Amino acid sequence: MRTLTAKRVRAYVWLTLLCIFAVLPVAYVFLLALQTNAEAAALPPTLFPASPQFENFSVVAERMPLARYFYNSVVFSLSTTVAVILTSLFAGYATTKLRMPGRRFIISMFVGGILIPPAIRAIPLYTMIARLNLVDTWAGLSLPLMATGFGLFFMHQFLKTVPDSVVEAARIDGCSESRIVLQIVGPLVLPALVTLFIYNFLFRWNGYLWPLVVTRRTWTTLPVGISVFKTSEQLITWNLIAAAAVVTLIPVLGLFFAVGGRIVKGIAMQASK
Amino acid sequence: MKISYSDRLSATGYLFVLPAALVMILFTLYPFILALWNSLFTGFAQNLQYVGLQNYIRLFTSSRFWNSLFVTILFTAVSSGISGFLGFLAANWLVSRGVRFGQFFTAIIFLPYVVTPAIATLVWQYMFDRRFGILNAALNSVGLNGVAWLGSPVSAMLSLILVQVWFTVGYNLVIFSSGLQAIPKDYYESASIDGATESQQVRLITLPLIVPTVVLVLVLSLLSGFVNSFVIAQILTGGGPFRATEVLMLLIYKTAFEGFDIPRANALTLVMFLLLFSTSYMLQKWQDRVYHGLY
Amino acid sequence: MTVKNTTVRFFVFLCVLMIVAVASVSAGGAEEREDGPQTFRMYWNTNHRYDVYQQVIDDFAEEHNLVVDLETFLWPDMRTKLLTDFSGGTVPDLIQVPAPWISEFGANGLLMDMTEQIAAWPESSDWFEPAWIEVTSEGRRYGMKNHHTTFGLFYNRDLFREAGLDPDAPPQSLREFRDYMEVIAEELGPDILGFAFDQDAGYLVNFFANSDVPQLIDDTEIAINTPEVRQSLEILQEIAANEWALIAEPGASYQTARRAFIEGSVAMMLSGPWDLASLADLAPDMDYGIAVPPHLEGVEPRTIVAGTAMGIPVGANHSDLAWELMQRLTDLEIQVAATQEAGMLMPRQSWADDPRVQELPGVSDFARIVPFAVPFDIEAASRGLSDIMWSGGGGDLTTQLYQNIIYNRRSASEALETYVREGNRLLNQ
Repeated sequence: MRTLTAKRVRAYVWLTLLCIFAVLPVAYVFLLALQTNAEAAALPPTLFPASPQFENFSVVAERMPLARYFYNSVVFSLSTTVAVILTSLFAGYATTKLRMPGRRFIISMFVGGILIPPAIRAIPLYTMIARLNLVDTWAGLSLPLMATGFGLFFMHQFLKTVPDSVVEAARIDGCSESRIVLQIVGPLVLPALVTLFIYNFLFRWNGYLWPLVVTRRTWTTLPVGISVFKTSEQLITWNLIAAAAVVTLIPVLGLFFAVGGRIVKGIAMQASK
Repeated sequence: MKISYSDRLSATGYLFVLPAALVMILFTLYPFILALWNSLFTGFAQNLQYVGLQNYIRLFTSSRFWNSLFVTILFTAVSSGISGFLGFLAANWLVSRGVRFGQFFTAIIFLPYVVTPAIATLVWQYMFDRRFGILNAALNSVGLNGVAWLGSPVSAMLSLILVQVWFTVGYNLVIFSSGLQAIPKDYYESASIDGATESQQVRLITLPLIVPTVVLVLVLSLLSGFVNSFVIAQILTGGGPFRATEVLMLLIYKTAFEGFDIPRANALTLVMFLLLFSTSYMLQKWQDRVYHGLY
Repeated sequence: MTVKNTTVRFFVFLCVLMIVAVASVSAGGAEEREDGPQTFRMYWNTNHRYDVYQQVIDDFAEEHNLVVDLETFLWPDMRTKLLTDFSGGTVPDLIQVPAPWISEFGANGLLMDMTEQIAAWPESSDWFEPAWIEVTSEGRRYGMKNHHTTFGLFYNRDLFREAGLDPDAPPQSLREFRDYMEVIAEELGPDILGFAFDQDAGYLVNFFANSDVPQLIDDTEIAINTPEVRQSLEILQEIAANEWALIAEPGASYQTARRAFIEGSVAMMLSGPWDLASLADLAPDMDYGIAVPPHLEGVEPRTIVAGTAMGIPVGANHSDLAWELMQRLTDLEIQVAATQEAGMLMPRQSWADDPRVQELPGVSDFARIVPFAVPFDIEAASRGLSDIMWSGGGGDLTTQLYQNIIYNRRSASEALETYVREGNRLLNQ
């Protein structure tokens, strides 16, 4: 019994170290964001601001329409994510429960899509969007991301675990197929849908290249908008860079603290397939 | 002629797949095919000339490409290895030693996964800074000399790997925990009654049973290694010093956007796509063989 | 139960996010774009968005009943945007880019040939001659410079005094530069050093020009393959190897050297007028001077031009208006006002002669240097050889050479040999 306790203590120590490793950069960016210019420039570097400088955020907001970027990011991330959930749910239902011929081909097409690097699609895709006259519109930004290979693959894997008997019982009751999807299967796999939501939201919120390419001033998203603070040839003090970063991080951290447990479970679901 | 029930179901199936398939075909596959077609040309925009496979030949005879390939494989393999190993160890502690607050630990270690990569990497770059970074400040405060984290080929690569491990270790931890939890407890109980030590238990029971989990971790690490490697290398080192961290994704980006050589970048992309595809396929096959061989 | 709680929290998160988004945009006032007036699109560098330009643009918009969409980017993103715009046929009406890009794009047929317009414009003779070289490809002009800058050696007089050096005698030759560095490292090091090497290989170009090589390419050959250049590189490598200078890491931003200079942890840096504003802002009390970058003994000192130029993409909707706006933005009064606002240097002779410019500290130092500045690698740009270019962050081969010098891997002459060999191969392909 003593050895087990010792082992447990060692496990705690290692896990705590891992936690510090994980949290350090995130905590540091928050601390930086609250420092004064002098503190951010001091050598050796300061960690804790003497008095938190919340006006750093207003300085950043003065230099750019931060609110507009934020709004754009939210609309873009939310709308594409809702669309991905719907398209993936229906497509996944079709490939698992409707068994039409050619479904293997469809699945492999989607899986192949996961492996196509986004950077290379950007140019031909932009050319298409430009021909459609959709540059710098919500549609141009969002349409290409309304279904993803990952989404279908994820839902396909998950819907496989829903027993066919559930679907058949509903059919006998006279439900139409779309009603089965929306009112029976959908609620049944709600945890999976929430997980997919979180993933997709994160991907879109963190995306850079596509929003950069396809937006102008109207639909600029937050990561693109604040990039000014990254590589300027002029000196920008680090507290301001960090403040801009914090604005971008807050929503994803909010999502994490609200449903962190769900993210963790979601991965576990994937793993148990 | 009467339309059979299963035909009707199939028709509904196609209808349900249609929205997703349309988006995929129009906005992913079609641009991809255009990009591949474009890789057979040289020039820019309207002034294209057909050159056949010349872009590919130039690619395979370019030492810069082979260097990138090597760097990418090194980065992906080492970071997946370390991150997977750490994730497994931590998951093993959490599951088998009955650690309390497991959910809490898992959530915290997972945190980096949700952070915007471009921002997190930028912060890391600042932390690595030789003069202004807190890592060297910490070393100095305990009486050690600061390190040029990103200044030499080896340490730059190690720094990149460190950041990638930071991103992925929590994710791997979660996957491994679920894989471990799925192993019935009584396997271990009977093994310890037979006198097996803990390390024997891990080797003889745990490892063989979590092969699918390992493969999943490897495939996901491979993907995230490729995707993240671009952001990490671009921001931390720009591919330097001496191209020691110039991963393929970065080379593609530089070829297209700095060199304005889009056809060549497209050729590179196809090579990378094939590489990714074949590796994940082989891993899947390996899993089938090993895993099904056990039963 | 847990699922339910999570679901509730999830929807709370969603609601909060939407409320914040909507509230923030209604507070910030979303811009509504009305139909009616035509839109004139222009790309501009984020750091060059001066109030005086905004005023010119506003007036221009009002006179022509236009909506001007001014989009600002930093150089890497600007290049990405332009590449996709050229491919997609959605070019803006006017762009402001690093000058070598103008000849690069021009040579690729992506920019309007403006040779005739410029020749017919009387004021073009007021431009410094080198300013036109930079926007020319095979004899045709594809744009015009609007900022005409150069590099200078910034030196901190207080640190010179502390190290026992004459605060009014900045190093002139490369040998002196090296000796100063040794003294500073001995007296003040290791916390305070003599110089900071930037991560940007392009900054090395100053030392080539000052080694009696006026141009990167001499017709069919790389011209920096000389004993003088080799000697300069060896001195620089010695400085780096002895750790007499702060060396920025490869992915670092321009911040490293600038910050070190502003904080007084390096005594010298190579930079341009674009840093005058941040120096005034962040180190108002610093006693510093600006000198011509150090040159090799027995060689005539030179400086390299840098700066930005404007051009009109082929297929622009309002090319005539763009040409008009180009002229208005480079009006002498506007240039002087921009200098007063941001310390930027301009391409007109009458600007350099203007008393209002000459009385500005810092700017006047540069204004003395800038007429003698020459372009260095413009031919590489117009031939599309981005790998061997020095301006714009440095191409791949350039970066290899530079990193070999500052991280001291291979000897300077070996590294130079590789650059020359590979460069010649590209040139003659």
